[in-house]
Amino acid sequence: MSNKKCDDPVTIYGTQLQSRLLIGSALYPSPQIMKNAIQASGAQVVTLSLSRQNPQANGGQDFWQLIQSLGLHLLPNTAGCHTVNEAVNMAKMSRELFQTDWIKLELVGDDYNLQPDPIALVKATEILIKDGFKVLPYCTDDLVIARHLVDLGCEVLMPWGSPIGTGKGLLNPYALQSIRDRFPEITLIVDSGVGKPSHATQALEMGIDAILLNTAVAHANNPVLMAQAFAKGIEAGRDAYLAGLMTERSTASPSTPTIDSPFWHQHS
Amino acid sequence: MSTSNHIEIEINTRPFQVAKDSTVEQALTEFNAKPPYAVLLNEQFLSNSLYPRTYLVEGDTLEVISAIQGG
Repeated sequence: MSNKKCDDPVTIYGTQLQSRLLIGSALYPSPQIMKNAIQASGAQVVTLSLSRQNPQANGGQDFWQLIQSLGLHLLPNTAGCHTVNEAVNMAKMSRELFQTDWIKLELVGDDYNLQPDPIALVKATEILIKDGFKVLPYCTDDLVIARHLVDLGCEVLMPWGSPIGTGKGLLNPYALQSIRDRFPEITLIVDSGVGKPSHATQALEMGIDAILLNTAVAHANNPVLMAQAFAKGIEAGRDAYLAGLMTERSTASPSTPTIDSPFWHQHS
Repeated sequence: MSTSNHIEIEINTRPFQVAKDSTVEQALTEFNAKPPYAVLLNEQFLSNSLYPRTYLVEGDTLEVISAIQGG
């Protein structure tokens, strides 16, 4: 048996990526730390957003040039949208501005936990897919909503682990596993709530394809080091998934051979 | 307030005066919009190919949108 992992990319609408970490560009202490952390993560996809321009503040050109200098795939989001119309308009602006048909579709259904609005999400997804977008919907871990999104043509789903920015990890592993098992052909990316590398490892171990992160890296005391830690955690989880986890047991089973007697009584 | 030669519109939630029969493209230039940007006209996306041939009327609202950090 070879212990060499062969080429093992994750696929987003036909684009193959070697890194299973997608990273956000928000909340870093400084633009330079953002750039260093993103590079340290090894991510090939970076998320970004849109806001009203203030010409007196250079119109966001500094940020735009910094992002472009990274040379990564861009994944614009529709953060802050509450209605289908808002999200569709924001997606169209993003496509024109960033020259990509990828859109991380976010529709807030509740301001307390920023839970996605599943009904509006499905409606907006239908409109955008018909308009040629490649939709990456930020959804809850509801299996039936996942089914609707897949039926509409989504090749990627991005269920939450827990609410955005909470760092609580995977609150409902059973639900995520159900989505994994029901849609083995879909690229699953856990988006939001991943607070530490072990959360990411856990997700990858269960067959989740990738992780989208922001706060856990950006709010670390050392974002660059944390980005590296997440990259390692994700790699470990993926390797473990490919290697095949042992079956859990309810009773103990000795790992040391018990033939005849304890080893100190055995004679070589 | 509009005058005989100007109309009042709104750009990024602030009042803004442009000459009558101005196009979106002209208004963006006067606003000193910094590319790259995208535009909403009256809360609907307006493709950049339409800027030169879309004429503004009193009370129109423009949103000039550009890239920011996002998660």
